[in-house]
Amino acid sequence: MSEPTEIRPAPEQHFLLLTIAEEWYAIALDQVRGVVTTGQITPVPGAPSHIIGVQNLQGRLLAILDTASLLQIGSQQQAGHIVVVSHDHLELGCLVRRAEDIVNIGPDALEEPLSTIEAQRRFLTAQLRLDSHLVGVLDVGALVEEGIRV
Amino acid sequence: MTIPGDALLTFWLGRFTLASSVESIAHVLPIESMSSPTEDMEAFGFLGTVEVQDEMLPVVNGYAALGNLAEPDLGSVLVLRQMPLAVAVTRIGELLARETVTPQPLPPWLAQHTGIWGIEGAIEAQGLWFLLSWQRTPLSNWLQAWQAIMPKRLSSIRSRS
Repeated sequence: MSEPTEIRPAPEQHFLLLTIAEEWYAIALDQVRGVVTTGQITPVPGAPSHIIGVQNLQGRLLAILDTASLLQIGSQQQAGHIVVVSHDHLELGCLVRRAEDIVNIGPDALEEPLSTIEAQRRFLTAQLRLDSHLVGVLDVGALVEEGIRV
Repeated sequence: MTIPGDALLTFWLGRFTLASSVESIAHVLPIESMSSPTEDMEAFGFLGTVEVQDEMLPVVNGYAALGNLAEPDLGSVLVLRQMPLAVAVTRIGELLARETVTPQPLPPWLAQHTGIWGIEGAIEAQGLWFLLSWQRTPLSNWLQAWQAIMPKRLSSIRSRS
């Protein structure tokens, strides 16, 4: 008689929960390299339109993405944090209102994204509900690739 | 003013903060010292000329060095040493001793961006300033245009005299 197969629950995934303008989003924590406070962002001549400039991050220059503009949710009036993400060996800072929390989410909690803003759909991999918030899970690869496009 | 010694000169071009080795700059002149352009110069986009040591040098909008031709407020003219051109900029910042600053490179993908020429890196001095290498900017195109205009200008001066 064969041994019974052990059924393990699907592992939870860690997400960084953040706000951009007035909206709630999440980024898988394994795509986050760090969170820093917004400092002086210097505009770069000729940079792609969604890159608002560079910030000195511990002696190296980090290009900063205007995430709110890319997601078409208005201007970022109170950006307090920069979430440093990486994709395909390329590092970029995403300007956000605030990094709020780190949450553990089981795969059952992730739903198909139903963004009402059509322009956002390509930047979302899923959505989830946390308390009263509908949270869009951001596709870092899509954000980075679109953000650096000329 | 005439720039002395080895240092970096910071300047503004619209909202952009830039810097140049002073070895690359012979003089800094007020924009008022620039003469109006002739029609043919204007047609090529030159702003005018400045006279330096009996030589007339064409003045280009500093944005030409960055690859586009937006029109910022212009207040000063940098006379370049390595090429017979002068570049109009918004305003001059300050002189920094070179040994006190180390340029940090732009992220490689950003440096390779097609719109960014001649930026060798950024220096931190109460904010970031992008260090320009004039010879790597598109200014050489302007020199070619100037050389095309010059014979016509000389002949028109001769015919007037």
